Amino acid sequence: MSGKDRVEVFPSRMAQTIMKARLKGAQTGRNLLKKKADALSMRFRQILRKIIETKTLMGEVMREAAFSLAEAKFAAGDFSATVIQNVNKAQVKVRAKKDNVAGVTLPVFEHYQEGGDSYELTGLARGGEQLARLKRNFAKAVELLVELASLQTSFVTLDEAIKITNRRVNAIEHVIIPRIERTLTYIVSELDEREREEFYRLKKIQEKKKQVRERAEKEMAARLAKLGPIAEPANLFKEEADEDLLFE
Amino acid sequence: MAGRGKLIAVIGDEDTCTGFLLGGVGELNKNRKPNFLVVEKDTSITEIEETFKSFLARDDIGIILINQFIAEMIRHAIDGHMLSIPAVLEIPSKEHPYDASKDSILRRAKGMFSAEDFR
Repeated sequence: MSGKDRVEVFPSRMAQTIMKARLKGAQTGRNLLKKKADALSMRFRQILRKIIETKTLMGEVMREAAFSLAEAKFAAGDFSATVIQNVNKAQVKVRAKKDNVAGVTLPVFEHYQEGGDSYELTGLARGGEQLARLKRNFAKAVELLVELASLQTSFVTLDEAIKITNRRVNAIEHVIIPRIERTLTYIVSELDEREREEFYRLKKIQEKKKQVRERAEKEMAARLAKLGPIAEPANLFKEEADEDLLFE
Repeated sequence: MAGRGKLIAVIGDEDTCTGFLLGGVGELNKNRKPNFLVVEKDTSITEIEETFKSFLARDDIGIILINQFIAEMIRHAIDGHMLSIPAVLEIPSKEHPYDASKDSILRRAKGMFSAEDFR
């Protein structure tokens, strides 16, 4: 990565104002992103806790369902093969809905029934009641599992979103803002130096002017001294007779 | 956006699959391919992994239920699946009760745990 660099800009007062505005913008952006990351993290932890609860609950529900399966097998004989052969259309399906949390769209599963029960006639011979109970138990388990799946997808999506947001916050904090600050210091230092140069130049010019003036005065004095008093230029007020006037 | 319905796929032992099929999740699609796989003692790991990958590739499957002991066998494939849909859920089987420390989702969150413990 390029180390200590700054934005290439011509150092002027306007550039300084622009950079200051940019710095302000970067800081505001960083704060907003941090707030977003915090909100997402909070939601994330909530979801995680819910997931743990639901998973433990699911363990129990599955155990109960497995029991009822054993009971049904005992009562109705082995129906696994029949069940597996008779698959054609699913009655329970899920839909993906979008939920919005702090600007992040989370997918949420919603289960719905479609069509009738294709296993209505199974267990007609014997064990019908156990089979019905088994179906109910597994339907309940499916509902719980759909809810768990929603939680899990939200979890994964939030995880990604939090990582991205944190990455952006860090980028602004450790790369963008220092760069702008370095640019500002550079501009300020350049402006200062220019002022100093200007000041120095002015002083030099003043000195030069003084020297020229002194030399001019010296020359004047030397010329005056050579020519003597006659060197006084013609004075209109002191004149007595003007030879050009014919008639007085 | 409530779109067309997605299916729930199952990869499990015979009892798990039977139970869920009775719950009504089973379907054969146009090519007579089922959305479930019954894993026996002699099913090879490659076959399980292939089925898992094919379920992931199908866009009409929203959730994949998988027994935890089978998930252990193809742990690397499951850990490599980073997308949020389809959701991969690990469920216990009759012989192997639910073990939270092996769940791939909870392991990802291990860093976030402070006072939470697997109860």
